[in-house]
Formats: sequence, C-alpha cells, structure tokens
Amino acid sequence: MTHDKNITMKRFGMTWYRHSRTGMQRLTRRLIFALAVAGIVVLQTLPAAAELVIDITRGNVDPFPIAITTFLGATSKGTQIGKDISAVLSADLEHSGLFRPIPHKAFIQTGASLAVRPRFGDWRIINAQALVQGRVEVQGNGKLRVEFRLWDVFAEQQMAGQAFSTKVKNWRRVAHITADAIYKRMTGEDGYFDTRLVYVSESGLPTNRIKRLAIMDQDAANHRFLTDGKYRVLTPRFSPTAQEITYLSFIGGRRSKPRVYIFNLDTGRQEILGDFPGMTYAPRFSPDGDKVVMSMAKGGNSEIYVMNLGTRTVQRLTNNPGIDTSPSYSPDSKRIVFNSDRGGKTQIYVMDADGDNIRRISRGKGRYSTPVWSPRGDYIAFTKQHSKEFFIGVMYPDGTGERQLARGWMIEGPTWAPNGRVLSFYKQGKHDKKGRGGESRLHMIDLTGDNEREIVTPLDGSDPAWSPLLP
Amino acid sequence: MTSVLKTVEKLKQKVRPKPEKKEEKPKKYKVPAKLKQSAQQNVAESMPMTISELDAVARQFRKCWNVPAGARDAEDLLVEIFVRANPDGTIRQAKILNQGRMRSDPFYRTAAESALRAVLNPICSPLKLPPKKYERWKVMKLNFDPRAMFGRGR
Amino acid sequence: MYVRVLSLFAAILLVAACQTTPTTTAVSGGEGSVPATGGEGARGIGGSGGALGDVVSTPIPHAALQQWLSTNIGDRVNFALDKYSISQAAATRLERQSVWLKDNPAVSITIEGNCDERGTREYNLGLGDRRANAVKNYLVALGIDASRINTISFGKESPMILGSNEDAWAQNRNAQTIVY
Repeated sequence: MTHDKNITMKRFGMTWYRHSRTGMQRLTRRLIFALAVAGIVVLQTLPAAAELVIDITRGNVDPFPIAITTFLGATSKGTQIGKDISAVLSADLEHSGLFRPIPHKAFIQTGASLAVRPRFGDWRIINAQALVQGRVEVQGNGKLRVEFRLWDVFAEQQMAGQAFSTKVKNWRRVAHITADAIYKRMTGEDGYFDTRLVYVSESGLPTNRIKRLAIMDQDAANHRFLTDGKYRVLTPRFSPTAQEITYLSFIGGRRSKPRVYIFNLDTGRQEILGDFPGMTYAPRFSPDGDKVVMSMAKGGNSEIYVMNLGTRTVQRLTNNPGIDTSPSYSPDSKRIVFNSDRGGKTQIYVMDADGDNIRRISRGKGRYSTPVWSPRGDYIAFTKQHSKEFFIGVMYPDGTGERQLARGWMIEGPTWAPNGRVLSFYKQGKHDKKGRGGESRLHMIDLTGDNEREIVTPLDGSDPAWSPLLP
Repeated sequence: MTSVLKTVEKLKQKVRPKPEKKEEKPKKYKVPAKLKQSAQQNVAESMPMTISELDAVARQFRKCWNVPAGARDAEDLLVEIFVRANPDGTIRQAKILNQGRMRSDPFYRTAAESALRAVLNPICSPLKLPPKKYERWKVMKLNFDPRAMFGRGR
Repeated sequence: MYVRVLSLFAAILLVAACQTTPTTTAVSGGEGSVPATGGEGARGIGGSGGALGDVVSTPIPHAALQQWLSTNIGDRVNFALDKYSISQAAATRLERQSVWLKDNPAVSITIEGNCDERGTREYNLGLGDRRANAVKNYLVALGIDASRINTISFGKESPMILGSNEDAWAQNRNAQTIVY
C-alpha cells in the first residue's frame, strides 16, 4: 500500500498560548473581579434574575466563510509542500459544501506575522469566521512535520491545533487529516476526507464493456487500477478496515458463473469466497468485518446468505421464491436491509440479522432497490425507479421520511461517506444505435440533496464504494 | 457559486444600514445614559418588549447564525447565550451558559460556538433593539434552537 | 471434449436429414464453415461420444453449431419487462430446441440470462438468473436432462443490441442458448 499508517498526531496544550489570552477571557476575568467587589448587588443582574429571553429558531446553512492561509515552510521544499497542503485542504472543505474558503487575495494579514499571532480584526473585516494557519518542516530524513491551528476569529480563541509527523510522500494524507479535524471541530460531525473510493472503471461499447477495479483517494488523487480488465468486475465494497474489497467477478469468462471474491489491498491477492452451487453476488461486509452478506442464486431463486469469514460457515437468511438481494447491515449489526420482489415489484425490506421478522419499509410508488444503511444508522439510502426515471433517495429505517436527493435517466448504487452525511453514486447517459454516448460518471451529493458534483475519473466509472476513514 | 455568494454579501451590506438609521442612535446615548437612567427605567417597566421587537432581533440573527451541519438531526441542542448589551445595541459581553455540557459534549460545543459566533458576528452588530427600552434588554438571554430548522418529518 | 463436439456436429447432419424444412440448406452452410472437421466427425459418430483414439485436433466448431442453432431454430427467447414467464413464441422455439437437443444427446448448453439496462445491477443479476432458469426448466420439462443445461446470468452487463430505446431493451431481455 502506498499510504503510511505511521502518522503521529498530538494536540497542542492550550498552555502554549497562555500569553495570548483573548479579549473574551479578559472580559470574563474582569467580570469575576467585579463580582467579587460588588457582591450581591451585581449578582442580581446575572442570568438567574428574570431577564429578557429572545428565542432564535432560524439561522442559515450557508457555507461557512473560512480563511485557509498558506502553510508556511522554512525551505523552498517546505514552502511548496505548505502551498500544496493548503490547496488540498481548502478543496476538501469547499467540496463538502459546508465551507467557503475566502480567496487569498482578500487577506489582509499574510506571511510570517501570522505565525506570531493572528490579528483577528484583520480577519473579521473580510468576514472570516474561522482562520486556519499552519507550518511545514521538511526534515533531513525524508520526514515531514506539519502543524496547524484553527482559530475562532470572533471569539479570538484557538479551536484546534495538531501536529503530524510522517514521510514527505504522505503530505496529501496530512492535508486530508487536517481537513477532517477542522470539519469535525466546526460541524460536530466526523470528517470523511482521509478516505478512498473503490469503483469500476469502464471503457468500450455497452455490448462489450471492459470493467476494471480501480481505487483512488476521495478527491480522485492517487488513482490506480487493481485489475487488468480481462474479467469483468462489478459492485466492489470495502471492508471496515479499508484493507479488503469484496466484489463480483466473471473470472473464467462466459462459461463460469459470476462469483463473489475478496481482494486484499495489502497483498494484491484475490480469493473466491466460498464454494456455492450457484452464482453469488451483491456482497457486503458486516460492520465488524467478520462476515460477508450476499445473495446466492440457484435454480432461478436468489436468497440472502451470510458467510462467517473466520469459520467459513454459511447461513441462509431468507427463504422466499422472490429475488432477495442487495443486503446491507445496520451499523449495530442487528438488522439487515435488502430488496425483494416477493410482493411483485422490487421493494425494500428490513429483517433481523438472523433472518427473522421481515417487514417491508418502502411505501411510495415505483421500484425500490439497492438499500444501503448509513454508517450512522439514521438513514437508508436507496435507488428508486419511477416514471422512466431513476432517483437516489433516503428514508428512515422505519420507512418514513422518504426524500429524493438526486434524479436522472439512469442513476444507481448509493454509497455512504463514513460520516453518513455525504453519498456517492453513479450516473449514466443514454447511448445511441452505434453505442455513442452512455457516459457513466461518479457523483457526490450531500444528505440534504445539495452540492452535487462529479468526481472526475480517467475513464468512465460506476459502482463507487466509499471506504471508512483510513486507519 | 462564488458570484452568488458575493451578491448575497453585497445584499447584506446594502440591507444593513437601513435599520441602523431607524432605530439606533448610539452617539446620542453615550452622554445622557447615566442621567436618564432612572427615568428610562420607569418607561421601560411600563413598556414591555413587543413581539415584533423580539422578532426583529430573531430575524437579524438569520444571516449571522451559521447553523452547524451536525445540528441537523440533534433533538436537543438548545444553546443559551447570556448577553450584556451596550445602549447602542453592541454586545458588551456574551457567554455560553451551559459550560458543563460544552466540555462533555463536542456536538453541543459546536452548536454553542456557532451561537456565540452569531452574537459576536459584526454583521449582527448592533442589535436592532428599541433604544428607549434599554433597561429591558441590557441583560438578556438569547436561546438558539436549531430544531425548527430541520424538521425531521416524522 | 473434441469428441463430443465432433459427434454432435455429425448429429446436426442427422437432424437436418430428418427435417423437411428449408433449413437443410442452412445446415450445409454450417458444415461448409468448418470443412476440416467433417470427415473426422463422421468417424466419431459410431461411438456417440465414446470413441477417442483417432481424433485430430482441429478448431472447435462451436461457432458453426451456434450459427446453425441461431439460424434454423433460434438461440434466443425474449421476455416482457421484469418478467421471466415463457411466452407462446418462446415456448414454440424451446420445443424445437428440445427436439434438437434430444437428437443430439452429446450437446451440452449454457442458457445465458440477460436484462435490459433499465434496472439496478444487482437485481438484474437475479432476474437474469431467473430467466435462464425459466428456460432451463422448460427444456427439462420437455425431457432434456438437467445435467446438460448450465445457466449463467449476465444481468444487464451483456446487452446484445446497442441503443437506449424500447426496441433494444425488448431484444436485450432474453435468454440465449449457447452450445458447448
């Protein structure tokens, strides 16, 4: 693997900044002093007294204006890396749709003076609500030390500060980890920038499509192919450690049934999963990574099975003449959501992890399929087909609260970012009698349905699957 | 995208001066504040804040309060900010009241900080409060409650 | 393997001989495309898949057999949207396929199930499997030994006809009988 797990982190103690007490803190100190002097008289005006209360129930969800300064380096190499880290970090935050990095040309305070202390007034003028500054040090042994600080410009307080040590080549990961730290501190949500996408890279005519497994960082950097395209591959999904991928392959060509495989990213080895009498497909890891749940088709009937990867034992979970497929575990592993056409058109069902207690949860018009449980457990994403269009939507696990996030002539296959706030899927266009058109592209979208954008891949792409945060 | 945002900013800047002219006379206040205080107190006591006056402040915060994404599905993220205001409607002191939860709940901390930033945001300064009723609002509690913004639809 | 192929090629000739339909000409066309195996095949007949010794390695005439099946009987049956039931037209074709299979006991087949592009990938894999098995079951019901019939689903991955239109979709919802 190209990435290095040995990135160390440490938090700066606030003691480093004792000299730089903020105006706010000073004010509080003065107040305490005043309280001590004035005693009870002053206390009467404190919140305990009956004071005016104003309820504010409306704010905005506009992107948060943030100033991301160029990380400073002492050497020319350090300066370049600092520049690059700032750019990657800035792009991450901007792509999330929750932040609006302020253009550097608007900055009043620049350069080395930042390292001493931000002049908050200068940042307030340009309406930067938060400020990011950092420093890069390229050490002799090919090591890199990067530190960053996140400031609340209005409160004049440091909100976060961390230092990372790693190999120089890991600078992009440092940028993503920094973006995750800032995202988490500012939004209260875990980040999703230090992640990857595995997907199916496509080329050629629809009648003879070449499909290869490919992997890349969440921001499309570090792209590489995992298979050579000799055999068609479909529906890759990450293990919870991000080290393994389970997927479907037509290894053996036209004469052998497609089957579920596991690909180990560390060793590059792939292995067939189990010895089933029929086609296995639609695999997905359990949240603990100990099991793979999938469909097995035999005699025209698809049922859902779970395989324990340790013991290789297999248990059948469904028993119905309908096609039961696309299973996905709830994050607590207690339930499984899947789609089935047992009632006619394909709909979404939830069952207990042992196959009991099956109930239908999709209620709207149309056909529902490929349900995927959010890693946070609060939503189930799905593909819906209705009125000659396809939709990506979400609903609560009890089937209520259905919302459409994206629509298109052909879109399918939602996958969740590990924080459960962003989804990826793919969109495909129509092709004509000569096979022209039919472009297939990966997209990302917020859970709100806002901020949809394409992930640019070298060739066409489909079946994206998001990794967890990298270990 | 950027151009839209720029337009929004411009709009904000254009909108801002209007109410300032209407409601706020900070310089006049500075001198007679002490002198008039007792008389004002009487007036204030007889004239409670009206709903529209409170609404004006609540509305004012719409553009200053960047509600964190994490608040979307939170059931209980009511943030109470204790505020002391100057007679000109600027903020003298603002403080998050539930400090204990600030330390224990990072999710709440994020919400609380966003509320505090709204209060400290220069765009929302001064607050559009009736100068005559200063005694009523010189100390107040601002309750920031994101729940209504993200109705869960159940 | 070769023996099986050779004997079944000979069997085609027998079938063709029995038939009074114009398809006979097509058979000779099929034969013509694999001239090298004609003589070898004739020697293999007697064993009906048993004789081994004197087989000469030559290209497998699968393509020719497939071509013959495709031209004279039809190697493909179509399905309605989201359906896997055997239509009247499909039934007629499968009956003819079954006769041919009975006359050529050495032939094994794979039924490939296909779907149009208007469905999700995983569901279509299940649906393709269902279509392939619907055809298999029909042939088994007509007396073909199940062990001779393999099935595979390509879902929506192997459309036969290009184009995102109703015509192409109707043709791409099929199960194809592949000789091997």
